[in-house]
Amino acid sequence: MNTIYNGENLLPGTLGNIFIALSIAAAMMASLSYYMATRNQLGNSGWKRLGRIGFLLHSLGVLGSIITLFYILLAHRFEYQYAWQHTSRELPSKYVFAAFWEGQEGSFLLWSFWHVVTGLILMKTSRNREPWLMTIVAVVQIFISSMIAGAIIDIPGLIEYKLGSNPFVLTRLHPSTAGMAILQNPDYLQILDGRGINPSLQNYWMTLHPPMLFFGFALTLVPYAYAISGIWQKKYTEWFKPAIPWAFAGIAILGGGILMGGAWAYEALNFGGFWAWDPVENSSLVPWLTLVAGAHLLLIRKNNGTTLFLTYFLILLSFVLVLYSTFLTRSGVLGDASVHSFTDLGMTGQLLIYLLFFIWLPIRLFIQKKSHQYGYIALSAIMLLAGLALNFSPVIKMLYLIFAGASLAIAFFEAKKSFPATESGEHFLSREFFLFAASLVILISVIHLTFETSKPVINKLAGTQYAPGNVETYNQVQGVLAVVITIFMAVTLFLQYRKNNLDLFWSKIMRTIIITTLLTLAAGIIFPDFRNPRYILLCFTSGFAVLANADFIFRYQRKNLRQAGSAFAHIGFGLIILGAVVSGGHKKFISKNTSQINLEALNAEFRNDENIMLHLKDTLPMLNYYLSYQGDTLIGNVAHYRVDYYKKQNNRLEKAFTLYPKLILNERMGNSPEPATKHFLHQDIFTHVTYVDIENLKRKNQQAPPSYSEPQHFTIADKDTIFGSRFFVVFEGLQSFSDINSSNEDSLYIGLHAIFSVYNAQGAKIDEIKAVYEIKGNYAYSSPGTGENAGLKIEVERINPSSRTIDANLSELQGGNLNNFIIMQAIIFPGINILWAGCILMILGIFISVLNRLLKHS
Amino acid sequence: MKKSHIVLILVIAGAIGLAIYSLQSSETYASFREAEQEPEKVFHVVGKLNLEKEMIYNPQQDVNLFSFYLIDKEGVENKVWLYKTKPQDFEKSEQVVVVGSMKQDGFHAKDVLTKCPSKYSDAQTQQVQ
Repeated sequence: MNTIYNGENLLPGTLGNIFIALSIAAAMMASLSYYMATRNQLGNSGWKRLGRIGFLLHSLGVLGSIITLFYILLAHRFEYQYAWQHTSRELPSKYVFAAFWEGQEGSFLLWSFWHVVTGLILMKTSRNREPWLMTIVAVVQIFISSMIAGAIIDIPGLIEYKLGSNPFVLTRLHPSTAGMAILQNPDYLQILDGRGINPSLQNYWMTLHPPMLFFGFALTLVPYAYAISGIWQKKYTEWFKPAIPWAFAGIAILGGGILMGGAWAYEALNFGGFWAWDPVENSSLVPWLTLVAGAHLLLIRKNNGTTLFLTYFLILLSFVLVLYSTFLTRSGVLGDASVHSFTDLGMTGQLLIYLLFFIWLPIRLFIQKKSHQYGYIALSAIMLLAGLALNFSPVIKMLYLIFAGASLAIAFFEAKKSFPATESGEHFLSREFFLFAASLVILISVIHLTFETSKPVINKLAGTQYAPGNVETYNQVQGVLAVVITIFMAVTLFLQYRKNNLDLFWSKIMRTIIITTLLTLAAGIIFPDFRNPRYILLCFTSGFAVLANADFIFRYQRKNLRQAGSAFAHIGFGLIILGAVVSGGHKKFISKNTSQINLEALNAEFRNDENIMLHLKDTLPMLNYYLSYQGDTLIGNVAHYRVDYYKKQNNRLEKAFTLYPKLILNERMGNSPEPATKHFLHQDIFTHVTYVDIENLKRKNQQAPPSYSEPQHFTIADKDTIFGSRFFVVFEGLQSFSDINSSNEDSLYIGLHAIFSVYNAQGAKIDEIKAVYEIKGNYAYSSPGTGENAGLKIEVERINPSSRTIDANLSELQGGNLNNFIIMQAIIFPGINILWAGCILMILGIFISVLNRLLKHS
Repeated sequence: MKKSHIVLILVIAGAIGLAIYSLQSSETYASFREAEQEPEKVFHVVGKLNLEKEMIYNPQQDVNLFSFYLIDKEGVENKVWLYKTKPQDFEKSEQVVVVGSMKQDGFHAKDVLTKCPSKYSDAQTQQVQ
């Protein structure tokens, strides 16, 4: 018997599925029509018009499904699993964007959205290349839209495959939630609440970072489509000019997205740095690197021969690597290799097919002879079927490897045959050769990163046991390559295309070399840390790149800064590298453990003393600061730990600043710590709680309000000191706050403040307490003063005018956060602002050069 | 042969060399038994916590030392000394990867990765008819 469920609204789901179906069907229609338009030699525009209609319908489908999904999330329609999983009733509506793309289906929709946006712009602007470009875009969109189809392809006895994962599945039908007991209740919607998003993702970074990154990913498609159209139309270099602004806009946006991820990690996550060479970070960095290399090769006038092949290779590779990155992060193959854990939605096979198709497509297009083309298609089909049938046995794997190598070789030789002929006479000392060589260095970096990141894939294919690389190895290899790249960045702008005069070249760059050398020496003399031989070379070369490009602007572009975009971007990148080396290479753990020495573990190889324990109200010296843990407060589900930083001035401790590292408590998804950072112009101080006794926190929360100890009695005079168990209290004297003259005879009134200063063991003043003592007529009234920081209460019992003393009672706060401690790390990042300044400069510089190019051509 | 070809060949050779180097120098996953054979080398051991045995974290004495018992994929149990603070929610982790070397008194780890239960853990996975 079917249960009737009350209150379910099935309309949005139906609508959403119609939109998805529309987007897939319309993308098919668009690609087919546009393909027919490419074969149309007669110049009538029927097919093209049909293609446009198809793509507009596709856009409608994508936008419609996005709006529907937003409605479901905003209205908390928990009958839909996506809403149940990613929102909850208490989730503020500003996190609806974060909830939207937290799940894979939503992030595919986001990606699809940007493809639609770029597709529509291409449709408007690409003029006579439109049919070719739009065929590619539409084909890509068939693939991406099918990722959220959720259709089950069922040919009895042969195939049963679920295509994509649909965001409009009902909670009671979704395999992961259908078993929940609550769903047996016909009125389950009255009581069901969603899970909401992970607390560590509830911040503005999660709203900004994914759209930026996916926009960058989407922008790699445009150069890819242009390159494919170039091979397809056999117009091998004509597409460079219109593709350049796209490629560089992609560099700016994707670069911005990646750096934003770094900023997120630095600000809100607990890596203790902004870059950890995590597989997920790497897999978005790699397409950016290939795009950078490829886009620079597009700038070469008379690009031919090997350089032209490399240009194609890098441009095509950028988009392929974006697909590969999707494959790595969404197929679950990374498993425990990454801190970013993604759920496997069972789409591995599908993602792999897409990836292979877009690698295969350009290779097939490079093949010129009709008969060879058919041969290659047949061979590929056989390989695919063999792979499916034999389930990737070792023999098949070997065959695949051979096939892949052979394909690449075929593409190379076929391309060389059809490319415009190389002119004789290459010059080492020319801008085109330097660009070529620099791209090859970037390619090496890409190969290394891809290899390291792909270890889980290699393990799966070859049965090896390679563990993810450690940060040290990455830094070493990539550091060496960065040295070479920054040198290229410094000098290449000073070279003309074609032949250059070596002496002239030296004379142009010599003064920068001298200045950089002097500055590096000066830095080494002033800052002893800077002398570290492992970092000084990279500091020198990145500084060289910065200064050389600044010199270039000064010499040639001072009067017309619109043309200085590229030099500014190079300065920016140089600063990023410099900032990364200075802040990362010279970061300093100030939380060195100096007081605790555990003899047992002293000789251990992996001994680490980066964490330190701070007792409540205790103050410990660390480097040139004194740190004091002042207690915790639980606000909502966030525990704030107050850490005061003091500096020694004139032999007294002066409070410098306070930081509140946090711990976000969440029973279901785990507690996540959030560091706090104090920003200075020259350095940041990062503070991160690594361990707290959570049980203690919970106990404290359930406890009755903190109580004061039995008062201790003191008789003290001005400037006398009372010693409490944790502090000492100095009686500063009495202060009148009433106007004695105004009191008439009948009602004598005197109001007095007894002022106490509270100091901790290091002599830092942490509190001031005022206790009130009033005399009205014949009666005295006393009300105690409390000190929040010190956890003290002082009451004036009596004033003894004869002995000039007072009787006071002092009680200390008990329970509450007494007996509490935190274990924390504190790290200084020097010069991190160099890096952020570099990021901004690089992105602005690229935009200036893109705009300049667009304005020049229009 | 053209100059660009020579450079290209050099780069390909360099890339292959680098790839081989990075695999050669790569740390590997292993079981306790394999790690025991090379006590000088760093291994990544994947396993599950033994929640019945004691976990000792006594920050009053040493904040950077935590010990627990781990059962690797071959079912071998070993004591692990982790030279770090105790990770938050450690008891809840489904799977633990420890990075370090096997010594006489147990496995000395410089790093640990924990995998927490999947998001769906409290919803039973059942197929609806």
